[in-house]
Amino acid sequence: MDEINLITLFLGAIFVNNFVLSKFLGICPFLGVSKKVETAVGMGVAVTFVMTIASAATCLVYNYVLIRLKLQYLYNIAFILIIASLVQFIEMFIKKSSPTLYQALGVYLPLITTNCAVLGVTVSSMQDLDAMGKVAIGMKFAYSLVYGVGAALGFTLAIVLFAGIRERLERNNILPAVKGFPIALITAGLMSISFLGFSGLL
Amino acid sequence: MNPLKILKNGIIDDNPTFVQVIGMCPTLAVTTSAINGIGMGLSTMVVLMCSNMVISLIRKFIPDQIRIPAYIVVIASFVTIIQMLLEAFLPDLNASLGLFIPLIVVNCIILARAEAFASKNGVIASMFDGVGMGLGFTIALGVIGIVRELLGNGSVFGLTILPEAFPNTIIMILAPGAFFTLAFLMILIKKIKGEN
Amino acid sequence: MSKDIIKPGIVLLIVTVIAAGLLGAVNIATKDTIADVKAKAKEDSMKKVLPDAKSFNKEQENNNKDYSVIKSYTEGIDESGNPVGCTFEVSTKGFSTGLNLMIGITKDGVISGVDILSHGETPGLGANAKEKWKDQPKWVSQFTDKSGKVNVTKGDSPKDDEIQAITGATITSNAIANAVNTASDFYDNVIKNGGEAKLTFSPDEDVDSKSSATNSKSKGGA
Repeated sequence: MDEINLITLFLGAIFVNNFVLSKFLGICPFLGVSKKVETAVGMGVAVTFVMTIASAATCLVYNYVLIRLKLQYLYNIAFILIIASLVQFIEMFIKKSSPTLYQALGVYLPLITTNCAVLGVTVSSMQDLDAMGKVAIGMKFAYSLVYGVGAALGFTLAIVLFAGIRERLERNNILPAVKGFPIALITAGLMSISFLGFSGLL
Repeated sequence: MNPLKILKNGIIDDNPTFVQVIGMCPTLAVTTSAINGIGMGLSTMVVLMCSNMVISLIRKFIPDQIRIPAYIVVIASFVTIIQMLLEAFLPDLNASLGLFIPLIVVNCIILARAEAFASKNGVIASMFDGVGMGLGFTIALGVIGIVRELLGNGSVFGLTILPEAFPNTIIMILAPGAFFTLAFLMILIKKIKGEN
Repeated sequence: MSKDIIKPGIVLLIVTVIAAGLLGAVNIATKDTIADVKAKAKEDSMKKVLPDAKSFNKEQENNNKDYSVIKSYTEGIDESGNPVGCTFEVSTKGFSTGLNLMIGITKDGVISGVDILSHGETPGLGANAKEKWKDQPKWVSQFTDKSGKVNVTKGDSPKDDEIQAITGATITSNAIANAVNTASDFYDNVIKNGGEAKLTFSPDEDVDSKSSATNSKSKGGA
């Protein structure tokens, strides 16, 4: 593990292993809040925020608390509680410190707890690091953080692009049976094909 | 409410995948083969049934402000138990479902049923709701899995069905295939319902 | 106000404590079975890749940084206790992380088998390494009975030191070939020479066979 691997990891998480389009994490908000570019950007920013902090926090808790106490099997409960309280805490903090930001992000924040991309990134970086064996704690932290930010940016990229396409679709004449979810899913499938093209990147 | 009605509601009228369109992540991710889809569906069903029952049982003791964290703890515990049992007794299935077992926690179906049904109804009704919704989810995942496995790998449940000469459409097993399969199944269901 | 915080807090604490207690109990009940299942799966895999071995010595951890993909190695012995070869547990990265392999090499340096323990490769592409391949029972069976450095070709007629790449999954094919080559090299240099030798080839170098006519520079998905 060195810097180069971290860059590969970062770019990989955004493009090649895009969380939404190739790993199917965070599909619910991806389909749910992508009718307008504006809301999609809001959701993307909120997710990036939570995912970055959650990756760092769960990495520390896992390594310093759960492993020390030999309670690794409680990771799932611990992670989801960290994410839920983090979301709550961020909500309170933003509400107090920046009312404008709260107005923009407020509605999306509670939804993030059940966004599987957030839990997904923390669990998969933990599993990856466990599989690697002996890794220095600093490196583990860097890995989790880089992976978290990369995955979050990948999510944001996908949802914003998708919202742009859906805005245009709204104005088109579509068969009634295909309107709504089916056409959205077909669009997502085509985007997923185009993201497959990134696999030669790394 | 009568149990049969609750079951039918979960499987057909309010099918979580095709009608409510929730719990999409596992629906799309693990359905590369029929057996994976059904395995995932059944694991989710067990968690849903247990969590619905427990939440219905404790619903009167849980203050309103902390209900979401309390539900999440209940759900996460059952998920962890299922994961340990799978690891001990069905290691192959556990390996192929991978990351998506721990992620049952954030499957919107489970929290949605806890909020919408179990927190308002009795234990028995909640159990039937869990089974109904779980079966609806399992059937949906099974169907998607069968279509993708058949077109992408020429087999169903691991048994080769299509002749060798029939080309395997690999895209159906890859990520885009999941989106397409679900889209076309939804169109089909809309058509059938529209004509009735 | 304070009452509004204390009561929910206590209830939540009780819920969490009960949940943790329950999980602890299930963990104790299943821990041994899980460990047994894992140990058995590993031993089955070791026997599969080194069929000549009747039993195995104690597993050795690998601390040689040059060969960091090799997690551990175990020497296999026959009935009379003579060494017949080694199995290597390798953890590498294919298209995604967590490509774990078991590789068996006999004392003459011949690859006696390759087995995929777990992987996160794409179903339908990289995951085909575990599936039937042409006339072989599995794609990885191509490695069996080869010795020395193995190259990957995209052509249809592999030479003696070549194996065919998985269609559409060059990255996975190269990763597995690299892992096998690293294990062979480790056996020759480190185990036989007593532990201090360095890697004799660069594992980053492309193992795509340069002689193959159909070989192109493009890297397909995995």
